[in-house]
Amino acid sequence: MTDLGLGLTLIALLFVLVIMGLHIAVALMSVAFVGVWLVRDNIDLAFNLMYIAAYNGISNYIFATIPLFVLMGLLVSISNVGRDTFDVAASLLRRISGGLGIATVSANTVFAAVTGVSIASAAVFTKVAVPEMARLGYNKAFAAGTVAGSSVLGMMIPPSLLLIVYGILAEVSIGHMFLAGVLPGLLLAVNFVIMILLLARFAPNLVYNMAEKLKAAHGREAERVMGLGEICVKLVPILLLVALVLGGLYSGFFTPTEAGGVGAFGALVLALARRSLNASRAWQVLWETGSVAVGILILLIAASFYSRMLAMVGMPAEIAMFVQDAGFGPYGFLLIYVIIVLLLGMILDSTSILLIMTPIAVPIAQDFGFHLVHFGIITVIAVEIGLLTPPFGISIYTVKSTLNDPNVSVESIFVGVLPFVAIMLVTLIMVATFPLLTLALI
Amino acid sequence: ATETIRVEIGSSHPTQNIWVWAMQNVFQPEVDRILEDNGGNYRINWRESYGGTLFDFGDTRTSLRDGIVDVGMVGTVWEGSDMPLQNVTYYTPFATEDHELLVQIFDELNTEVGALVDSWASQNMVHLSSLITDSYDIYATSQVESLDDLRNMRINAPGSSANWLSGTGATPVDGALTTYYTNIQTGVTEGALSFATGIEPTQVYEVAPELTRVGIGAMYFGSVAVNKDFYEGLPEEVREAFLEAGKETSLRHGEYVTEQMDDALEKMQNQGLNVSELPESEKERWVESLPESIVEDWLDMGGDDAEDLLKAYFDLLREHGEEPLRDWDAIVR
Amino acid sequence: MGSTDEELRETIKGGEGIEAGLFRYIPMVFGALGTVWIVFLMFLIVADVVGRNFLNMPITGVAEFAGRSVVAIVYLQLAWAVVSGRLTRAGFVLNLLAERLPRVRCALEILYLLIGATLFALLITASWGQFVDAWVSGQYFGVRGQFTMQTWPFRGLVVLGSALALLACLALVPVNVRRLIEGRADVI
Ligand code: NA
Ligand code: NA
Repeated sequence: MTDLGLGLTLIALLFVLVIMGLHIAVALMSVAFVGVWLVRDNIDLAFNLMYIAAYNGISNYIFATIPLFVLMGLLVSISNVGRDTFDVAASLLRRISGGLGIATVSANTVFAAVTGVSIASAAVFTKVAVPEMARLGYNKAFAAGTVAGSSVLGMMIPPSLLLIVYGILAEVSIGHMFLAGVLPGLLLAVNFVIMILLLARFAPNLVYNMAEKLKAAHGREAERVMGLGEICVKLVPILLLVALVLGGLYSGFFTPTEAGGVGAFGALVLALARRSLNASRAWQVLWETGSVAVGILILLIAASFYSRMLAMVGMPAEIAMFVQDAGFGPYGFLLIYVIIVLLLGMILDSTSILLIMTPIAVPIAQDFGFHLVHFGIITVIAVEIGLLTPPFGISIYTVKSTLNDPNVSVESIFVGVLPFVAIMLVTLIMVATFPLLTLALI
Repeated sequence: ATETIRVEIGSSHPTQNIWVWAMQNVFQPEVDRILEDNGGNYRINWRESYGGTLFDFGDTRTSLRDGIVDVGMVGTVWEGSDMPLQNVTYYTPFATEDHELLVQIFDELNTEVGALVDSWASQNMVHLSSLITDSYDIYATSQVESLDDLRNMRINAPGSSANWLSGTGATPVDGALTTYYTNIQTGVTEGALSFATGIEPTQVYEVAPELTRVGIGAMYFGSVAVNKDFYEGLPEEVREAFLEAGKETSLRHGEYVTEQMDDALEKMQNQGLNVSELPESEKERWVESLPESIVEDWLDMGGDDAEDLLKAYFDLLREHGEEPLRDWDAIVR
Repeated sequence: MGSTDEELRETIKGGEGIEAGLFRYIPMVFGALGTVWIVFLMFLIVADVVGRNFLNMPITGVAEFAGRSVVAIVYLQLAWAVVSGRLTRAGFVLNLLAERLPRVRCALEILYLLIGATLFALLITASWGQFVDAWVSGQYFGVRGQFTMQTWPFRGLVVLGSALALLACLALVPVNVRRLIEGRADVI
């Protein structure tokens, strides 16, 4: 068999194993091991390359960002800053039609700047926003959809585990990835807001449960207006944390790893100051941090082994040549790539998609002249759409399980989130068309 | 009939890099040319993996030792623990600023000093061609006019280069070429010890516009080497071609660094870099202030082999008319 | 009070690793060590940032130590990730099978556990020699005269972590065999 044939067979085998439910890290490493062994006809080489991935590859300063940002995200999640942010936004936007939806998006945008995982956003705002929206007559499915949809901001706006993982895989500066995520993240938030305004205006039946809304309207007078002082008290902690982390990164004062360490420490101080951390809770947060971090790190080990195998087979070069010969052109390639990512997004989690696709796609994208930071943001948006699409949409499941309301089915949340998926696609196209949206800040 | 031999060649750095450039632009074509001139009995099918697709800079030694590539760049500077001897230049600063000479000297040391040859062999490698940096100076926010200016300055000096500051009163701060810019910009440090070809692409001159030429010296950085098992399996004619091409690679690598260094300095000066020289007397004070423990630490690590190498290195320097500012070898004479 | 309190509790409950029997306590202890290490790393980085910027006292070698710490954290927690079912996988096909063909589902699970065990055995093979070499030669990272640290403890953790992960895979087999016999499978 030719190297190309072997490479394609191995990729196909990987897809089959993953879809059949073999643990993704195990699948990646097994395929890589067999691949190296076969292509060089030398099992020692397979062992050596495996060890490079399993020890040398992972003992990297940059990788230390991952547990640190996870720790930071979980600490802010338990310290109620999410609720405070939402309360302020809700109070400010109370007179606008669709205001609570916009408040959810806004609070998520701010919260995104202190958490690196979308699941944290989804869990926090399900508890905070959905009951409040339901009380004021919003359609529960739409409310749940809004929380799930805007939770993707958590990984679009820095800090973000997906941006870190892409940066590691594509060997571009994580600091640059973080900066590049800012404008597209804000654009996405603005687009969400516009969409909610339009829906509330022209298709209120999608947004509201009309009967409930009328009932709720009578209770309006009870709404409390928040004074400036209270707003400050509620917003200052989270804004300080944002300033510390993003300011430190942007000014170059911190490396991403240091930003993670200092951010986690800041979040710890915040949690202690708010007395939201007793011993058992602290232990839970730490335990969860470890679990999430190791889950990602072991995938990174596996993916680096797999991508070295692909390089050894000469796979990216071969595919690039094929794609170029087929006359697709850069945007043809991008279209096919995004479609594949979206399809994978239906069944796989975000990190795994990045791990499987980036090693193949990045060298090709580079050949086509894409700026790898630009390409990375496109990739991350496409990957994040997968958080919201059936059958496996982790944000939807998080909202559902956190909500724990038998009246709101998984299916109805998938429907409720559809407008958000549409907006993400629109934003994806905008970002792909205007590279400046990603490159302006770096 | 022509026999085709497949050779995996690769590196942790891209081919524009000063240490890798000659691999692709000199070594490969030179081997091809020699084999062709010898009647074309053999032809090489080069399989290139440059730019870190197979391994990163931390893994150059193991990757070559284990045959992940057959020919590759080994950065012995990153292998202080496993290949300590090769790092002699980093523990004997102010020895020579002539990097082209340093290439020649290390080609000789690497093939004639038993301990060095053994060190390559024990890592399952055969040395082909030596790699160096141009001379180290200070890139800082302000001009360094005297040694007193250095006192209490925080300076990026990674790895063993931190030793060069001991005695000056400056605080060495860890880092890498990629961190200097932001470190200096944010006031974490006030400058960096570095060399022109390394510093130019990082644009550090924007935040540290004062280059004080100190002439800490050119450093031996590593080598292009070939996996020993692979090498020994090659036909005699191809082995000869590898060694011969290695020599040419050394020569052209040295010349290329000179070109790149001149270019880099010119470019940086056009961008506003101000160049000054540290006065000779201050330079002497610096050299005098360096503690003997710098070289002693290294000697402790390498034993008798290190002593032999140190003598051989300084003998060669003087044979070529160089006058090291500090006789680091006096301790073993 | 804390809005994600319950979720945290949920996730931890979901990952108690009961299926691994009494063996689960061993990975749990090492997992806890890995977790503590993360906190230690956080404090170390903060200390370095403060020392470097405000006290003119940088801590040498933090970056290199942080890099090696990642190795320690991963391999200390690897077995717990296996035992608690936290290794990422696509549940789509598996869940379909669990409803329609539970025995096939169980058989697949056993097969996957054995593949995992084999892989971790390969990893032990790959890492043992490197551990021994590092131990014998006293290999270190850092710079003589500045900061040095031996690499064998970190390389040793790769071996130890892989060995525990291998055992963890095997410890999960019995409960799946029982399910295969009873013909029932859980949805993940
Ligand atoms: Na974020
Ligand atoms: Na999905």
